[in-house]
Amino acid sequence: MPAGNTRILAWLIAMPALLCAVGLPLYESSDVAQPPAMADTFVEALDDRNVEHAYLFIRQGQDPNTLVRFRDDVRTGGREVQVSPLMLAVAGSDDNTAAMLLSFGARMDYPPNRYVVCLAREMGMDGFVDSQMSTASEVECPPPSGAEFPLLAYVD
Amino acid sequence: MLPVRRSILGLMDRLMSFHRGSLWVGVVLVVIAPLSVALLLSMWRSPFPINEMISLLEDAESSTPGRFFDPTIRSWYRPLFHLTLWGFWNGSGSLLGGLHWFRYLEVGSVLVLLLLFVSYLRPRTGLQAAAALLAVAVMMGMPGFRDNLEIPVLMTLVGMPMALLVWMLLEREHRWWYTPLILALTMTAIGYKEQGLVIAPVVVGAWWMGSPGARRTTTAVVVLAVLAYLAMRFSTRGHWALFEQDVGFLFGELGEDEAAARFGERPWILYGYSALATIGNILFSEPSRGTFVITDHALSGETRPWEWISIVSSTLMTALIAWWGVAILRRDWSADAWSAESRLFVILVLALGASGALGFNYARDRLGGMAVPFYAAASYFAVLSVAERAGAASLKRRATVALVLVMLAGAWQLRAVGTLHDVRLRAASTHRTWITSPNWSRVTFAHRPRYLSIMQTMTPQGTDPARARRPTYPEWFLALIGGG
Repeated sequence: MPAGNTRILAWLIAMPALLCAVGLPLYESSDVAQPPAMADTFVEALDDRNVEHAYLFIRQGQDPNTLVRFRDDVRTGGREVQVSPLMLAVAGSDDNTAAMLLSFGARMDYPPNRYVVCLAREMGMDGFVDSQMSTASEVECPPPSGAEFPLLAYVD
Repeated sequence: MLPVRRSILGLMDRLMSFHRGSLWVGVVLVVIAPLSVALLLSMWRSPFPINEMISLLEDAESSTPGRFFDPTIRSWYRPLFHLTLWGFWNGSGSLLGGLHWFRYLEVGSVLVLLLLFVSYLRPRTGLQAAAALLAVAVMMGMPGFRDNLEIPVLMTLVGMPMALLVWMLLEREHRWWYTPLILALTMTAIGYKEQGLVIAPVVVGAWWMGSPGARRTTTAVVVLAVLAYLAMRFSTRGHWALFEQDVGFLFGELGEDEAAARFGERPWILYGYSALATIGNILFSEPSRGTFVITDHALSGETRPWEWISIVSSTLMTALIAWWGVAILRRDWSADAWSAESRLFVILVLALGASGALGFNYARDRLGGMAVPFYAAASYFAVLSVAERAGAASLKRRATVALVLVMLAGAWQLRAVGTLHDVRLRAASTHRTWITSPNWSRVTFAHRPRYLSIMQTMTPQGTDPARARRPTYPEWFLALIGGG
């Protein structure tokens, strides 16, 4: 094969690997230089059902047993309530975030969480209750509210 | 003066030849370095998974080394894998120290495999270097490679460089120490996972075809050792379940009981299917885990670009290898002598068959791992052969070949990057499990204090967000490499 043809063919075959060799470090170094997109507040992370972001707040010292102010159309019908993060996660049927909160400090005996088992059952999270809430049997739940926004029935 | 001059010229020639060889090897190593280093770093940073790893460690802690070699405890037999965990833990004096060494082994296996592979190909020209770059992408992009990067499932990953090293020794001039080394490599690979048995037909095949390093003694020793091993396994098997795990079948998966109920009378049908599925996965990237996922997506019109890239690039590469293999066999058949290339082709066929046979019980992508280095090496010679022949063809044909090869190289490079992305996705998924599972584990394993204690020790590595960090690729690129 003439040397020129061979060289062109060799370059063509090697081109994707060369592009990768140059492009990968360039792209990744510029990507790493930018801070990762992150929820602004703990409540926003809970609202977005983003368990990784919510965990970052916990990791940075956010107390999972502190009430947060929350309002939306789906869970509170637009009314602002003070609610525990665990109740908020359960109200959104967000079992990942609820599991994370229970894993990293959320207490079942924290008074605002006393009806979390009841809310979870009302939200259809029976499997979650059985596998994650060891004290579930000790809770006496009021009759299911059947309300449009079950969370409101369990917050003061 | 003449003999002296001839010696000097000979020496210079050898030096130049070595320089040319090492130059292109160096070029290949430099070009593959960014992706390889990113892959190795990603593996290094990946957290160990929560449940499987802790169970393995719990078992390692409560066992004595002798128990790992008892073949009656489990249906699978991986004494060296369990011994490694136990040894690292006890040798380092701490659980985290042991896990550190485990990472070295995992990452080191990939690094050694890559270095051995480039060393085996040893490109000496620009075209050979280009073909070697494509072959490395083939190796890194294959499902059998990708699936074996899962932590802590390194059993086959350890065996893959051993298989390649055995083949490299068999292809070199024989030395007395090859026999004990090949035997040791074979038995070590088997000791990590029985997929290591693939090395046995490689040795027999190499001897039969007259590989320079394969002597009758070497072959006899390996065959006897493997037969003794198989005799031990079958004589101590007790009762093996018909199907050990879920079995992929056509467009779905059968649970163990369901598979036994449907195929209990004639299990060989499903065994044959799983064996062929393992081979099909190596050659065509389909089926995966015994299930025709991409075909199913194609039938429902939901095929994603990366799926097309996988199946088309694999099929095209397999066709190229088949074309090259048949041509090389014909050439050597008429010359009545095996060449290194025709031996490699036959060894690939043997490794494929053995991998399929060993994957009879259920198909998994990782079960094809031992055939990966041979497939990738064959792809090198096939691409080189096509490229070299193209030179003598017409301009139109040359252009067609060039277009096909560049597209093939591009597709496999995307798949190699996909492997990197897959490792990172898995790390992110493991991290997510670590931050969502501890409470469940505390409730479920309340009666296993050692489990909980190991989990407690491992929690910082599992919950560290830096280990789950991955670049945010644009959507169009994710569509090409797979993953979200």
